[in-house]
Amino acid sequence: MKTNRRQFIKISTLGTGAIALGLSSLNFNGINAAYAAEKNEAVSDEDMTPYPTFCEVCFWKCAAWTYVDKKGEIRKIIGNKEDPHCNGRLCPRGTGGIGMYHDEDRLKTPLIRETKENGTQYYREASWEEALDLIASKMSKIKKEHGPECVALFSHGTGGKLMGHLVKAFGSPNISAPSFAQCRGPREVAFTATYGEDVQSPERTDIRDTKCLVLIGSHIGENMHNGQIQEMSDAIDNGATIITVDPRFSTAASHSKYWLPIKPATDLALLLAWTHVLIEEELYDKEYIKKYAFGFDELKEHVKDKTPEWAFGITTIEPEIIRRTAREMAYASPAVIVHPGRHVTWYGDDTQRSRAIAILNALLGSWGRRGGFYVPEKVHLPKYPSPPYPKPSRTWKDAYPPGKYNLVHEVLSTGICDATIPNPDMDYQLRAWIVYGTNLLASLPDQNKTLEAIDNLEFLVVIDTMPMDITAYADVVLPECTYLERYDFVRTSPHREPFLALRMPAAKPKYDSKPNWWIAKQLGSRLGLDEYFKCDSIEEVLDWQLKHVGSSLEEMKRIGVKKFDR
Amino acid sequence: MKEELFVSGRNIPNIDPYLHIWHWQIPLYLFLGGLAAGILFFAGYFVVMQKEKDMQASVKWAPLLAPFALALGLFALFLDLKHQLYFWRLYTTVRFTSPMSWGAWTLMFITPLSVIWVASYMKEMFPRWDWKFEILNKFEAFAIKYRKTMAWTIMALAIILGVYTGILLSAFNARPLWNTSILGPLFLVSGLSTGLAFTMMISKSKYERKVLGRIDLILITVELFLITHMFMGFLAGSAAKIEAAELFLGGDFTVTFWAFVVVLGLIFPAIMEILELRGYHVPIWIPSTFILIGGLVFRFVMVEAGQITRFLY
Amino acid sequence: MRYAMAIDTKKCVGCGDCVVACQTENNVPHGYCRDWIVENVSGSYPNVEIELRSERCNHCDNAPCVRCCPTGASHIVEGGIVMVTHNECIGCGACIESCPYDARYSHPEGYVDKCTFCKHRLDKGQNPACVEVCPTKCLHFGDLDDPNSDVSKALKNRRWKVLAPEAGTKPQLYFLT
Repeated sequence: MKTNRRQFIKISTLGTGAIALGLSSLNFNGINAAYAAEKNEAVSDEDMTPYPTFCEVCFWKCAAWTYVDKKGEIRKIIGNKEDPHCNGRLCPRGTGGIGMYHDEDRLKTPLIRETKENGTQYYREASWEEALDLIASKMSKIKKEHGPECVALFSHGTGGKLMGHLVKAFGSPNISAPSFAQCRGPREVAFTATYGEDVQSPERTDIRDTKCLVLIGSHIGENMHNGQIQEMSDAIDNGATIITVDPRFSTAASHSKYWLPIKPATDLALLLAWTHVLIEEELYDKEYIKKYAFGFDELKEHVKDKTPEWAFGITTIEPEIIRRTAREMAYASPAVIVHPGRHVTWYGDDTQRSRAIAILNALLGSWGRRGGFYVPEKVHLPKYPSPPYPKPSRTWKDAYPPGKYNLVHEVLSTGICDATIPNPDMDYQLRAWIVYGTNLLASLPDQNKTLEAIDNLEFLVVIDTMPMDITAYADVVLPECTYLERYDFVRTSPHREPFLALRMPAAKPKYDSKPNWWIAKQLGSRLGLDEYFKCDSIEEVLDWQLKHVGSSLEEMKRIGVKKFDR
Repeated sequence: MKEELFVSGRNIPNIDPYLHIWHWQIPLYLFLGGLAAGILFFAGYFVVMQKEKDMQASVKWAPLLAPFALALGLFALFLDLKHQLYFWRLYTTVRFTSPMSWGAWTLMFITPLSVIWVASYMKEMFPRWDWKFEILNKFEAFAIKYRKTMAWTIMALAIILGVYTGILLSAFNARPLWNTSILGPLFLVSGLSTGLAFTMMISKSKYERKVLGRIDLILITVELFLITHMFMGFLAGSAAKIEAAELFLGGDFTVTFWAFVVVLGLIFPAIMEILELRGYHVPIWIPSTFILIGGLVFRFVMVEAGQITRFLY
Repeated sequence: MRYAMAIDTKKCVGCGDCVVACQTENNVPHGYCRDWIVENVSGSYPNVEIELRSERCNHCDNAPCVRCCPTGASHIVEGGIVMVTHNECIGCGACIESCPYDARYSHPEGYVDKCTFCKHRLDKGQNPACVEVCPTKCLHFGDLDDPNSDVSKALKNRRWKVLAPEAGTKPQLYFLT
């Protein structure tokens, strides 16, 4: 077995930046004033052209307009007023999204790792042809020697779906988002175990109409989950009670009626004590429980001794406060939300803690009720016709003993990572990674293990817009253009009412970057997967999909966001 | 991106932790303005008092420095400007509420006047001087004829200039350390004192030095008195003023101010001058130099410290 | 007509969206901003309080910056908005020193720059960019002379304060407490 130790190569963009700086410092103050005045003045919206997009800075995916001035320069991004995700108001990251486009440190050309005679490694700027040929030949080789299942894709964001299509067509089921295990995995597993349905993204919390919002390990306001912030602000206006459980005095805590500075890692005890109070004082929604729940008696038995006094010793929260806050929730029931949170991977008890939250919400009768959790709706777009994907002979789970990771309903990134390191107990080892839009060294736990896995890879491709930790270890780096310069699949995420949102380019890709559709198609044709990419452009696919639900690409380009009936 | 992320708290790297928009140029300009005002005031004063014969240095020689000091001061001010090509905008309007406008216009008048003043004495100072052009000779005769009027005008302008150097700062109510009306008189007196110190230094007449020394002692006493009053005013004022005064009473500027400005720049030269008046022999450059340096440090300290003091944040 | 802004400190979460929106709207150079967030934490554990304020030029009625400007570049226009005419500004810094709110900065091009209440937007009947973008809707803007304006209503229904009233500038940013 050969280890291929990759040296960390920092991608530097000093060259062009330094020259620009040198020239500008020659300008005497004021000489360029006329030019500068024109450049610096604000431009009215009427003098710009807006192009529809939806934000790619976070998962909330707010629909927006990219404003382009007469010179073709992107000036600003403003929320789309018709979109329920943002109501015309982007968060600071979305507003600052133009930084992604303007950033001088962007990846500019494909890079290929080379080794000098003295052993030091460096990146050589390469043409797209060469880089894509290299990737295709390496992937074909791995397919021939080890099977297509030995290639894994890590992806994050909207563009990941296209890469996923490519990898599935190639024959691998190992498509993983690190965000599942790191972020919402335990929550979705716990809610599915309780309600048979997960919370989804964006969260189905009806904060707008709630009378009591309980934040436990959630700091709305510091996290900029746009719709939730807007609705929390509405809730404050409506006089809702906010209860914040946080060892730290967060922004949300400062806007709350109750702040419970809990001892870290003891949330489960507080949740059980709340459950105890609701049951003991018979404050829970009896009708709701009777109608929809089973196992109540076991729960009652389980929390019998989980008194607030018991919890006080663990959480340091006064028993009186625990009782009072439990009563506040009950008075507001069913318009109450014990927030399921996001990024819920903390201490190892995460799935059970999330279950306790789900059960608490059930006792309060808030699931599916106004002011609690709404029932989300989404538009289902048909998939563009392509041949069925080849059936993989094995999946990542086959690397592990049967029964391990039983509850996991998505591909686990750590599972892929561990199965990349050779282990005598596993007869299945991953050989190549394609990393799209995620900085694995920061998004997987145990960095040393990730590095060990990378050392054991035969091939590592990174596709991104910016240099970062993971790009420093790639064999080939492909520069993707930013979300402002490309089409992507139409946004269909769930909300109170079904909505579609379109992303279209507002400017040509900067430097030598390319859109993900082009990259996937080019790779596909080199891998002999042409039949999976029959269309010449993504516009054809989008138009076909949109026409199936009574819209069209032309209409969406005009309105950006379209509402459908429930 | 190159800039720092803006998370929370006021964090504007180009403004915080404290505003520092004025650097060495402004205190230097204030010092040179005060120095020129001092020199020109006493030149005018002794002409009006008809003491020209006895006060040669004050009336003729010292004013030679004034146009240069003013020009250098203006140049320092120009360097301080951030939008330099628009400098001329200062002279397209008169703004009575703006000390900066007052100063610009005063300088506009006093600088040429100081040149004329010096020119009218050129032949007395340098007997072989020749203006070469008849028109200049005629103009010189004209200037000499109206010397007394010129003296009155220059005294008035010198006082405006001297007071202005203080008002420039004291007009800013946003900077509690500067925002005291005593700063005008204080900077005027300090300017006059530095002007006298320079004249004393170059004077060859024992009588003149004695007269100037006496006036200077009075000025130093007044200056000490004003400084005391300034601090009394601060300490009896609002929290922002007390905080401003504390910069000098235990804060960062305590040693610089009390050691270099008050002790070495005022008290020590005053003692020297008293000793000289009592008949001891003291080389005159010692107190003069100390007064000049004290005056310069004083302006640097005031401008630097003033920019730290504020109401908010 | 008297434009003013009311900032709800009970709703602001200090996200800085107003800052970013202003920067993109007005093309503010990197490292500078025309508005900013102040986070005041007071009290002692566990009785603590955070006051979050989105601040900018106060467009004072008694504006010291206008008073001390030697060229008239800083001036007040209809609606009480304090403006700077860039090509009249000499960059002397007097207005920067005179502002108790440190609301002005020296633009890299040399002139002094600051919040304009997005006058170019007001002229078209739109709200300032910061008001339009604020996710918590904690910024209320409008004409104080109009009792039905957003800002008038906010001030009528709530307790408020202004910053550094002792500076005597009669500021027109009101903080709802």
